[in-house]
Amino acid sequence: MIVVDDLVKVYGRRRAVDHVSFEVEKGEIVGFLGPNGAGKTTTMRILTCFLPATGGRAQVAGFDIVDDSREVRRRLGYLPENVPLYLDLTVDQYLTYMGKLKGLDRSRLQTRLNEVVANCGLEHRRRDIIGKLSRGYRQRVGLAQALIHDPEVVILDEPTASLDPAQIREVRDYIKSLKGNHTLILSTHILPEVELTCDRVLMINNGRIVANDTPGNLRNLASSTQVLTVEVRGAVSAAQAALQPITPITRTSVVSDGLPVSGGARLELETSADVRGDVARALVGAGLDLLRLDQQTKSLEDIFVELTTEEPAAAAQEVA
Amino acid sequence: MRNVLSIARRECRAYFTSAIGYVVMAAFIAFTGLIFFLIVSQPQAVASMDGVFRNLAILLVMLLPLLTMRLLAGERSGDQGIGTIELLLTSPITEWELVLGKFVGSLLYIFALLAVSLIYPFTLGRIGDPDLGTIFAGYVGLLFFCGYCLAFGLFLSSLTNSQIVAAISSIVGLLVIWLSKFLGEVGGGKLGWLAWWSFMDHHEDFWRGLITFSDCAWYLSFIFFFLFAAKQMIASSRWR
Ligand SMILES: Nc1ncnc2c1ncn2[C@@H]1O[C@H](COP(=O)(O)OP(=O)(O)OP(=O)(O)O)[C@@H](O)[C@H]1O
Ligand SMILES: [Mg+2]
Repeated sequence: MIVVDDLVKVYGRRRAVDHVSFEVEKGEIVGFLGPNGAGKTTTMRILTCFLPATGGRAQVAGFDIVDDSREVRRRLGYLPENVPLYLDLTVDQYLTYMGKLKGLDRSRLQTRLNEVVANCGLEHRRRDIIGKLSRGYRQRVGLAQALIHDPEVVILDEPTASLDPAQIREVRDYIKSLKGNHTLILSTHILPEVELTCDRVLMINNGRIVANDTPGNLRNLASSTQVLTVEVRGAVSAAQAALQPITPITRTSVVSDGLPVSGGARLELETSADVRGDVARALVGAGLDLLRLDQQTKSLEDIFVELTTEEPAAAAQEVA
Repeated sequence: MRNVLSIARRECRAYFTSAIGYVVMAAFIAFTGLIFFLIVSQPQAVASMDGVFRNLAILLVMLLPLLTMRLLAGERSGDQGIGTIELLLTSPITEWELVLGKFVGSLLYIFALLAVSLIYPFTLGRIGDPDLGTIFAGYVGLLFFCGYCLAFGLFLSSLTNSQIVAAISSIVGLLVIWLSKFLGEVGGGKLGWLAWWSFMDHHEDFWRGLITFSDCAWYLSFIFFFLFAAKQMIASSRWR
């Protein structure tokens, strides 16, 4: 449904998008994830025919974004990052105007208007002037605008920014309900959102794709490493010596020595297997007091931070 | 075509609900009313709109850029909303439809303004015996003149993100075009061609009651040229 081939966008001397290629199947929901300035918005603007690419090609819904720009735009719903709205119009007027520009005829417009207004939780705000709505409501109006013509492809730039938690859940459910009939790309900084709504995650950093996988696979990648947090009372060197023989431990680091209340030390261990029993026995066997022992699996968040702070090239290899 | 009308209707309605629209309308009514009163209260007043049309042109050169400044610059930044140009350029409308819609919308508002001013010829008809043909030609000329100013302002509005810059540069630009007539006259032979570029001579014919093909063609081709230039400016944002 969306084919992106070697896309490049250069602003002056900065490469905002650096040879990006990916595909999105019909009915898929794909999440763009990346730190500020990664190039998410720029990529979306190119796909929506707002900005020209410096190099590369892309197809949306089977049409080339340059040669058949109008056909692409006909099939596209887009929520831009800054949620542009006509502040002097009411919600109904605005959505009607947008619907008309997207080519809906009058009767279809009426039905769709009622549907999106209901789905975006705007029933009681239909006659309100947009300029007087709160930020979250404006966001909902923007979302309604993107979906008014029931487009095949929906591109949403941070659709849940500035929504309240209840509304985030509603919008998330709504987005999920679009799955199957619509192809969606959304960008976000909120990691749980990607795990909950997206079939696939594209992590972008410095204009390059550093990971392209399902949230599940990315989490498995992480969960092969466990992090053990251990607190002991006694000599730190003795603890380190006691842990030495346990081979699955790949890294030991002392987080703090002399904790406030207990006076103990906190260590962090990275292991490739569940060695909690061995660790407990070894420490107690060495005559130390074991105060705490817990194990965490790395979250998507950890991977995100790892992939986007490490050397991009190295990170890309790690995933591949 | 449908898109042109949708955009035109939205733009025209925006003038009726915005402060700038009211300011322009109030200035127009106050100014024309004053001029009309001063002219008809002269001892040897003749029943003609000539004086009103003549003085109105300078006012319109100042006012119309205030209407056009928001048309495109305001979609990029402004109190209507920020970056709404992104909505327009990602919807399935052509650049021509966008530019024409904006132009027609502002022209419709001018129709409304000029309709209000019909009260003056009507009054003239009650108190004297004006030449209706001349007045009609004057209004046709006024429409062409407004079309010219609006198209010019729309073009300058497509060049910048700032409404203020669009307004000021349009006013200055129109004044320069206006004055090029006098430059042509003063400069004589070598600069004589400058007068052709000014709308003054073409406008003058209409006031005198002449609707000539060449004047209409002159206005229409400049209006077309400015609209085309605005359309190209918008389209160029999509060029590689
Ligand atoms: N109009 C522009 N002119 C010059 N540089 C730009 C422009 N727009 C974006 N950039 C640069 O391109 C890079 C990518 O920006 P982009 O807006 O795509 O990031 P993003 O991933 O959407 O970030 P965020 O999470 O903050 O929204 C940034 O370094 C930014 O400074
Ligand atoms: Mg962004």
